[in-house]
Amino acid sequence: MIWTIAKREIVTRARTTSFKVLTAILFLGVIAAAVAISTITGGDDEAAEEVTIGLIGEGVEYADAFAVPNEQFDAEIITIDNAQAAFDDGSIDVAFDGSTVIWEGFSWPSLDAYVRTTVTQSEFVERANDQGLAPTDLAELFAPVELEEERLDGSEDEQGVRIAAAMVSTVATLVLLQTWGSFLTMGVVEEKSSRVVEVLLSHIPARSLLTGKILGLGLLALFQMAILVSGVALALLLLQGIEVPDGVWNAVPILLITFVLGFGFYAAIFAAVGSTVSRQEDAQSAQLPVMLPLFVGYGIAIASISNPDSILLRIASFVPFTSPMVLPFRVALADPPLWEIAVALLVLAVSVPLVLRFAGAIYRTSLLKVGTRVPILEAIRSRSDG
Amino acid sequence: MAGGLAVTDLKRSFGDLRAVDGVDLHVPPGELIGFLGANGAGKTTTMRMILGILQPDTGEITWNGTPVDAEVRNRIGYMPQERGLYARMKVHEQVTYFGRLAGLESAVASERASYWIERLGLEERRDDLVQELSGGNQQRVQLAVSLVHDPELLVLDEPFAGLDPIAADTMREIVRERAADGAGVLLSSHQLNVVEGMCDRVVIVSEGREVAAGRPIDLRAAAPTRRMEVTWSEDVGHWRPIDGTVIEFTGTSAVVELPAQSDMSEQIGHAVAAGEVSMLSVEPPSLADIFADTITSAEVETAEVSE
Repeated sequence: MIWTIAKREIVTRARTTSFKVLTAILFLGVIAAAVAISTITGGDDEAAEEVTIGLIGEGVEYADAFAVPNEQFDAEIITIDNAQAAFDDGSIDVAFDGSTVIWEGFSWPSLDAYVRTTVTQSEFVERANDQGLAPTDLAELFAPVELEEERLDGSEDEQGVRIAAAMVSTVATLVLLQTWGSFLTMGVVEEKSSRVVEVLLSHIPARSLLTGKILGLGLLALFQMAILVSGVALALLLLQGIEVPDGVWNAVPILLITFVLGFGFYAAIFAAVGSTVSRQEDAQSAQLPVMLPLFVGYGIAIASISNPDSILLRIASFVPFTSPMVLPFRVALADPPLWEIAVALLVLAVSVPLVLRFAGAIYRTSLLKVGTRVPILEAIRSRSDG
Repeated sequence: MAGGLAVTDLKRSFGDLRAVDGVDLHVPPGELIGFLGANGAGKTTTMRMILGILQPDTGEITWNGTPVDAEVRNRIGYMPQERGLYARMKVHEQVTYFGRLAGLESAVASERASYWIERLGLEERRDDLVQELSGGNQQRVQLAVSLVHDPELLVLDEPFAGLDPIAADTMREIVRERAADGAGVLLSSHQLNVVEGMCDRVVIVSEGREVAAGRPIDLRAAAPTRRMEVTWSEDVGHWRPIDGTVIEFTGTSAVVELPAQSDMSEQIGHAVAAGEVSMLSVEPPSLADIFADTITSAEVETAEVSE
């Protein structure tokens, strides 16, 4: 029965243009972000560039050295007699005669460096041989010295990734809770204003109707969140050169859990608010008080980016009205103590059935009251039917 | 206790307002019961309690002797006074959906929806959105919604309100047919004349309380007056009845209200003696006439209570 209602919510909502557009934007946006990140950071991943090096005179001795595969350049070696002629027919990019790197005009800095390094290394091997050193000794000789880096302002490359992930989780939670909460309000008002609710209630209790609606729209909201999270995760995996901190990965399950619980928490309130008005025009203003704590949670999170241990942020992560926005933010940004995460999740989880019960009672009593807005206090006080 | 729906001493208040104050109803299978009264008399509240949409303060609602529960409610077809459909849902999809909510399997719901859509002449609109339909066609969809699960009891709140004459005829025909198939029908109306002819029994309520109940013919027979209409072929001058009130007199015709206990053969003889009679009838007053006072006095208290 509940599933029949949920299915109708899903089918009707998924058919609307706004749903398709929002999902498409999420999907394309996330793909675009992933691609952008991989191009910016993924230079090492590119295929080696194909170049042709012309060797003249004594330069020919270095043919073997150039034949060693290189990450950056895939060099084809040809022997030439005249550099000018070879440049003229476009068959080479650079020429080398054993002592001079010859360009047609301006040099190509990275290719120039490659030619010089290759020749130098080849010379090193030669000289080492002359001094009786084996190639292994040479490797030891040139083994790089590992140097530590210290930044006095405490910044880390990782921190950028953490901030980005924290922001994405908060914004995504805010936008999706607000959007889907408001769909729920509109759906309730639609049923109330069209009076279809009376036919519905003749078949099913108000409780089942509410549960079905929350379930249906919740699954769609979770679907969009899943698209977003998997897209971001993909982008993070494509990140090169910067290691993604564990905290960011830890934030993924926390985000999904707080989103599901947060949706349960807010959905019932949004539905209850919808049941107190009889016209779509009134729905907007009725929703405002519900939206407020969502934005407060978001504001607290954003204000605490540079100070993830602030008391305000810590408190907000325990309050169920703000924790869906704040908890995944904290986990992604800094590593809060495990007990704090556990307690925050527990408080949210316990508050969901309480809110469902409370908001469900308002929903039941207000559903059949037509006309002016039902004052919330009156809805709470009066007996519940159905 | 006989089969069907039985409502005993039902009461429900909203704050200080006693919307329903001790209503009894019995709807046996195959019978058409008219639930009549002015707006605000408590009809809708009573029906909502039968459907479980509102909880009664006291009283009992049983089906074949056992209290009405969710399972029984799935065998009731309900048409609310305020028609309610999803505007942006297609006709067939919508009727099927309500069939599913009433507990039908998907395939059965779809098949029954198709049957009723065709039966109500909506087959060409089955894939149109409800909001694209005319008011009359939306009423037909509403009726299909209340019939899709082949209910054993129909609860129709003001089914004729807002219907065009053709739709009203279809409605009457289908309601009678369902009753002939053994379904009990409870239909409410504030227009007594619209339904008195089709109901097996009526229950008339005012201000939440029953004022009369019985077969229309018995209720009319119990009225204290009779209505006599006479037309003569010639001018009869200044004719007056033996007793009773003259409502209209033109010289060649008369409408008079007579005491029910007066000797009718004497009354008729008196009219015939005045001149050559071309038409004469003596009838009890219609329900609408009998209860006009009840209905109008309550009507002042205006529309629906905040329910």
